[in-house]
Amino acid sequence: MEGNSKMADLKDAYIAALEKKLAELSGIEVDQIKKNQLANAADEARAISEMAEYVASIQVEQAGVAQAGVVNPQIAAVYSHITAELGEERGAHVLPPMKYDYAALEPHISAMIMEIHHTKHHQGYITNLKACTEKLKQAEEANDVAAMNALLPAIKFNGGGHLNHTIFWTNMAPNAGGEPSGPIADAINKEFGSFQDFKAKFSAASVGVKGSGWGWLGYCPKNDTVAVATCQNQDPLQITHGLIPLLGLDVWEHAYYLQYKNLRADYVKAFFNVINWANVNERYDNARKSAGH
Amino acid sequence: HRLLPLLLPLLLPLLLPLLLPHSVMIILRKLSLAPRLVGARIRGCQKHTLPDLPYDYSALEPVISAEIMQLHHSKHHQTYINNLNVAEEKLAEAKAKSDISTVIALAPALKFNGGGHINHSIFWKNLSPDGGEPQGELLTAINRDFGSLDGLKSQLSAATVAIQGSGWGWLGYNKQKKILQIATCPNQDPLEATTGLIPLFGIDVWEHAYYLQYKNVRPDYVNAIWKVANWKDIITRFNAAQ
Repeated sequence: MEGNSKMADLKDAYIAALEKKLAELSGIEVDQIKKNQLANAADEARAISEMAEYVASIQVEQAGVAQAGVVNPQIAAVYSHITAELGEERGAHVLPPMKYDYAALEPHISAMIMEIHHTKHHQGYITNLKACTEKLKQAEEANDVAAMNALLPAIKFNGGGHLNHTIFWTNMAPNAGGEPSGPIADAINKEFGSFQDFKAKFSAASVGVKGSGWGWLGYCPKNDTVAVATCQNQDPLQITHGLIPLLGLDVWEHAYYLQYKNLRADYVKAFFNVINWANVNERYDNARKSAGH
Repeated sequence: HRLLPLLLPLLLPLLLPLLLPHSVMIILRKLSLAPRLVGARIRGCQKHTLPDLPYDYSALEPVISAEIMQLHHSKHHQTYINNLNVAEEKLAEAKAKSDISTVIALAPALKFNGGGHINHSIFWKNLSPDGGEPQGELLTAINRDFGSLDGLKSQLSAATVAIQGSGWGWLGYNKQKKILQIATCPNQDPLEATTGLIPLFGIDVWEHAYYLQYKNVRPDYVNAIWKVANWKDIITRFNAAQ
């Protein structure tokens, strides 16, 4: 048993090394096929075959120069998740208005942070996403697959940034926080034992993110359970881990530094005073329905 | 009590390590007052310590505020050092037990905290209130590899601003090709260990490095940092790398 998992680790490491080399030589980013991370076996099978098709389409024209013949499927995935969340068509991205004042989450999150976070950071992702989308459109019209694929990191970063922050603003509200009730509370108790256990696990994961990233509570469609996960930078949860986002916590330093300085743990603790559990319940309900439960 | 004055000089060497706090022991060691007394306690654990800043916290104003310098040095860098020491202790234990699985599991923590310690140690020296200008062989190399000093500045600034998330922009030296190169690293990945380039000048673009002063406007910080670049230090590193 242990031998098998060591072998699997070795194989993963080998695949990762090959893909890294390929990316270096060709400039093409190949995401490691996510074994056991996509929640749904059918989704995973489809994702694996899409990625296999993409990798198989790579032609080496000359030593060290590779061309992908197929567009990386993650590009379409980013846009489709944005459309599902915001109803925006590709290219038509705008800053969603806040449902509460910038000062409404004080003293837990300061008004200055909320305003800069919303009007500067989130807006910045939207501005850059629109620019990427424009370039993507031009590349599509020119049938230039290489140019389209070269845009993936920027699309994932800015598209992920737009999506993640949109979810984040709805996950919080004034006069909120405390312990959840309703279906999400049941799911949390079932999965983690108790709300306190969930809080400890979610907090530890969020504090432990190395660098910039997000802590998440997500829904696993295959197992009909909830899970804690983290993502680096603006990597979107669903594309990265196959979980549907329910509750996100931004732990980029811009989300807390002006108020909490280096004390990320204090910010994470304060976050539990502003969680909008009604919104989390709504997302959970929608996620279960879309998974057929 | 008559015996005490006689016994004290004999007992003191034994009691001193137990009585004095760790920091006082280090001071004593530095002053070479009681090397044998404190050596036994410290020799067993070669812990990393926070290097002193070569200038006051406010020395780099108005480019980098005193508040940022103080937090950055005494909190962020100190934390990397604390966590590195913990990771290295666990590594020593795991090695002693031949627990290879744990050794491997510690790799990310060593890279992150060790890289944080390395990077910030270089950074404090890379900056100065009067760092001069590039000259001599370094300037020749800059003109050769980037066209001009302005060419270097605009290329390194652009690459550094574009880093997604947390990371560092670097001017590095490629020993094999004998050229200067620009590189970026995510998080605290150390330049030499991950790319083989010798670090000459690094720009920290983790948000903690600039946010209190520049907020989201990373380009303003990156453009401004050239005013406090310590070319004397960069030249020293360049010469050492030849």
